[in-house]
Parts: sequence; structure tokens; C-alpha cells
Amino acid sequence: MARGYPVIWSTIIAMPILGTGVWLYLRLPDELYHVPVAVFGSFVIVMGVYVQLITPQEPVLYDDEALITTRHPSHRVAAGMMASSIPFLIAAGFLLFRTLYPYIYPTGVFLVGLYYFTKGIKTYWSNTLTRFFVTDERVISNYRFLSLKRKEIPMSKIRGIEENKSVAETLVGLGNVRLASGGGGGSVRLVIRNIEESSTFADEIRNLVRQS
Amino acid sequence: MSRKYIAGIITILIGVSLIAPWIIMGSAAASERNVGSGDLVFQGESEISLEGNYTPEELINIEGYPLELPVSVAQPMGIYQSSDQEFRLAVVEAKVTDFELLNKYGEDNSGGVVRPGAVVEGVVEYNFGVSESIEVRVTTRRGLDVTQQLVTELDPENDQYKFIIDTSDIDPELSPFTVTVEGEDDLDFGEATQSTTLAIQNFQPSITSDDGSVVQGEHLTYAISGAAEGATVSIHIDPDILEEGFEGDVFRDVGDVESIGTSYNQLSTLYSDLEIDNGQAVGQISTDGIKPGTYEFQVFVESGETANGEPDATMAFEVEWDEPPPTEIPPTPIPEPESAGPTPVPDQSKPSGSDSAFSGGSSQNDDRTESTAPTEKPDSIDDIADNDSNNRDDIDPVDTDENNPSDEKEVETNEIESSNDEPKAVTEQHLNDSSTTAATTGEAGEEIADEPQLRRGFFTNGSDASITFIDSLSITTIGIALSLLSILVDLERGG
Repeated sequence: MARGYPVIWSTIIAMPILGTGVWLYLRLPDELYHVPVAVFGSFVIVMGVYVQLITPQEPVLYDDEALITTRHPSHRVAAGMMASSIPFLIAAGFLLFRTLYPYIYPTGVFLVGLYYFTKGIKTYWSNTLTRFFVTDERVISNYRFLSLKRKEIPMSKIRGIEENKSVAETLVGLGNVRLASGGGGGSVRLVIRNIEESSTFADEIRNLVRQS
Repeated sequence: MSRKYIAGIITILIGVSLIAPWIIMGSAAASERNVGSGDLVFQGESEISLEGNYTPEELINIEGYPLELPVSVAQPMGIYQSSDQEFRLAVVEAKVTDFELLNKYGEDNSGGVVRPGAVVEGVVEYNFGVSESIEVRVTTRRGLDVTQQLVTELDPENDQYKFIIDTSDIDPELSPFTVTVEGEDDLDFGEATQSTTLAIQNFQPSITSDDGSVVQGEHLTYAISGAAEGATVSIHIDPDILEEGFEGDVFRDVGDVESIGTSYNQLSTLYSDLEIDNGQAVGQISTDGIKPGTYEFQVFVESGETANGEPDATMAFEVEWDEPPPTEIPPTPIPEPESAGPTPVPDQSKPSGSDSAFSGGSSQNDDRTESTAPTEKPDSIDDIADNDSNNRDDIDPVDTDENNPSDEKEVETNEIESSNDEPKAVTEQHLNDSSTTAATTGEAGEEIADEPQLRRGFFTNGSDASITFIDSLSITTIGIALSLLSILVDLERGG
């Protein structure tokens, strides 16, 4: 099963959208605003169900290999993006139904809100489908939506560890750790994005690299 | 006998010829200006003499430079005085300080254009009037001197010289003319000479506006050009264009407007007099009280003289419906039924209230707003039309505009609270036609809304808003579709 309850959260997120679609249908039955809105809300629910059902496969460990920790990206960034879309969507509805401004204004504001919401919900699902495994021998990134994407770097091959935090990430207590197996085009790079206590995680990796 | 007469005449002629040079020289000597202490002399002035026994060499400036007679152009300006300081004079530069060609309105037309036959007065102010007068010279564009044909000199005043240029007898094709004023004798160089041009052209007044069409309530700015500088132009409007009972001013007292008012010369007209300034006169009208429609400005050059004749210029302008401000229809209290229990369904054949009156415009199709409070939301616009047809006998049509058929309808429902807190649906019908009004009535025929409805466009509102919500819907749909697609693609690519 996927981490958390994406089906529940997606449904919760989709409820206002579907409610808006119903309201649009009741208020403007002869217009078709409710159709794309309802489709979008339904899409969010369906995607939530799908993401819930997708199970990121646990890596197959060697006999003498021990799983040390499991990490996953935080949902704070996704929540922030979706939250930032709310004022725009409310403003779009206000401009559309409570004022007589030309349609370009509510439409433009709606598209801005839609952009942030889309980025937020996509990040939420993407993070839900992503998981990082750290064993005493490897660091593994596991992601699956339709197809499986798995990357791993043996501890003995890690040549570089990079930490970075943007201002926003610092404020919300998140960070990124980049691992590289070496220089050149044949190197494998792993980006462990939006994780909590990224410095602690990086230190753990350093210790494991030294012990390997 | 005759020989004696002839000999006498010859003797007289010989005598005159002998004394004539002396007479002329004496005259010339008399034209020399006698300069006393405290007077001005001008650089380049030749015919001067000093009072008393002083010689020019005795008069020196502060740098020790002596005065030379005749005064050269290079003579340094300043005070020259004798060593005993009893005699002093100042050397200055001769200047024409001002030169104007005034038309009959008293405005400067220098470098401008006048109509054929116009009379222009030249006024020259200069500082060397004590030395010599002004000479005027007018030449055509090819250098032909036409001064004698055009210029009549007036009596010069102290340091001011006036002359008249009468263009009645001159061919306008010879213009533009160059009018030069300068000292008539020595002082015809440098600042002592000035020139300007004057063209003769038969120009036509015109009126223009950036906005040929304005929304009722906005101001329309107009500009009148093609009239002489300083001329008064009068702009007229038929007062029948005003809304019933409107008592405000149509013309605004702004820009170059000198006066506004109503003229009762045979036909009453609203007028505004303006003065041409810098080639044009700019004014403004307020369209608050003007009925929507297309009207005409009439321009008359020189107020009053041709007010009953043909206008010199006209311009059509259009006033459109005022767009109503974004408003919400206030909750309409529904009379509480006397009997308890569910709200009875009103007879849909009549508006609620015995004295209900509909006001507001109707379109060509006579579509009208449903003002009653039905208990059920209509399923479609046809339901409203059906109700409307039932109510039609009770409706007084107002302001029917058959030129603006309504062809788009938008039905909205508002939930309102009745006095017993039971929600009722009041429908309002928005007719997307700028010339149609909608009304909603509440208690006993009380009119609560009577406003022209707005044609809401995609980029702008108004009667020309041909692109409507469909474009908004299309963009919204495309935006959502792209969002879904980007989500799927990004998720598949790995987030």
C-alpha cells in the first residue's frame, strides 16, 4: 500500500471541486462550467484511489544486508502549493459571480490558481509514490506510477554528498540531499528531495560511506 | 520781352541748382541727432553729434576706451564719460524687443495663417526710437517686395511702431510672406531686425474627437481647429437629446471654453463658446443627461453671427447605455402568509402583490424579467418565458427599443429568505442586450431593480462585447485539460 491515505486525502481535496461543479450546475445549468470542474474533481478522486493501490515495491535485500532507514519526501511543500491556490480560486469565483468584470479577469485568476493547485496535487502524489531506502550497503530510490523507476548507489561508490536547503525549505524544516557515484557521464545521481532532518540523514549516509 | 523772361527763369534755375546742395546738406545736418549728457547712443549709429564742446575722444569708458563717432558696431557697450564727469552717455545695442502680427481678435499670428482679406496689425516695440524709426519690408516667398501693396504705416508712438497689413488685394499664391522690421537707417542689423512669416490660406474649420462613441456618463472631449487664432467658435447641440427632466449642464466649462448656456435664437440650442488657442480649441461635454443615441455637434466660427445658418463644421458622436455598476440584487422580503404552514404557491399568472407593476425595458421579443417569487426554480428559459407570457397582461412596457433584439439569455437563481425564514427562489433574467432593462419587484409591486443589463464580454463589457463566457469556458476547459495531462505526464516521468 502507498504511504498514508492518498485516497482519503484526494477525496477530501476533491470534495470542494466537485461541490463547485454541482453549484455551477445548479446556478448556471445552461452553461457548461460545471463539466470541466466536475471532471477535474473526479480525476482527483480516481487518482487518489490509484495512488493508494500502487504499492512501491520493497527492495530485495541481500542475505547479509540490513535495512537501516526508510525515508520519504514530506508533503509540506505540496500542501503549501495547494494552499496557495485557494485565494486565487476564491478570487476567481468572486470575480465571476459577484462582479461584472469581463470574463478574462476571473479566467486569468482561475488559471493561476489552477496552476498552483495542479503543482501541489501532483507533488503530493509524486511524493506519495516515492520512497528512499538506506541499507548498510546501498541507497535506493523507489518510484512507481505506471512504470517502475528504481535507482541505487552502493555505499562504496558514493563519491559526493551534497546538501541544500532553499529559504522556503529552511522555514518549513525540509532539505535535499544529493548523492553522486562519481564524476562523468556514467555516474548515478540520487536526489532525495524534501525530506525532514536532511542534515541528520546526510550524516548517516556519510557514516555508512566511511564504514563501507 | 520773352527773352527777358527766359533769361530770368534760367537765372533762377541756376541759382536754385547752386543752393540746392546746401539746402540738402543743411537738411542732413538737421537730421543728425544731438546727444546730450545722459542720453543713449547705439552701436552702429552714425549721425550723431555731441552737445557742448565735448569731443568723442574725451568720453571714455571704465576701461579707458574712447568713444568713436560714428559709433561702430564694435563699440563696447557701457558708460562713457568725460574726465570732469560732467558729460556722460551710454552705448547700447539697438534691439527690436517685440514684434507681433495681431489678427482682428488681438492674437499674435506671427508665423501663422490668415484667411484671404484678413487685416493684420503689426506692432513693433524697440529701444532705439530716439535714434530712428522702423522700416517694414514685406516680401513674397520668391523675394519680391510687396511692401507698398500690403503695408500701411500708422503713426509711430514712443518706442512702439504700428502698421497694417491688408491682404485684400494680394494674391494668396504669393504667400507665405516674410515680414521684416528693422531700423530705417543705420540700425538694420543684429537685434535691431526681426522677421516673421505670414501665410494666406482659405482654411476650413473642423471638429474632431478621439472618442466618437462614449458610454453614458463619460465625458467626450472634442477639439476644434481650422479657425483663426483667438477666434471665438461656438459649438451647438440640440437640447432634445437630453433625458427627460435633466437640468444639468451638458457642456463643461473646461479647456478653452469661455461660456456655456442655452441659446433661444429661433430654435433653442445648447451652446458653448470657445477661443482658439494655439491653433485649436478644446472642450468637453458631459453625457450624464444625454439619451443614448447618435447626435451631432455643429460648429460656428464667431459665435452668434451664423447661428441660424449652415454650420462651419459638424461631427457625429454616439452615446451608449451606461453600464450598471456591479450590484447585487438585495434580498427581497416575501410577504409572510397569513396562514401557517408551507408557503403557498402563488398564482403564476400574476406577479405577487395586487398592485405589482413592472417597469423596465423590453426587447423586440418582449422578453421580460420574472419578478414574482415562484416556489420552484424554472427548468429553462422557456419556463420563464411561459411565466412571462402569463404575466404580460399585468405589465406596463417601458422604453421599448425595437432596434435591439435580445438574443442571449442567462438565467440565475438567488436564494432569498422569506419573512418566515423559508427559502424561496427568485429568478432574475439577464438579457445580454445593452438596450434592455430588467426589473424585479418585491412587496406589493415595489420596484427593487430597474437597470439596463450588461453585455458582459471576454475582454470588455458593453454593446460591442461580442465574445462572451464561451471563451472563458473554453480557456477554463483547456486549462484543466492541460493540468490533467501535465499531472499524468509528470507523474509518469517520475515526479
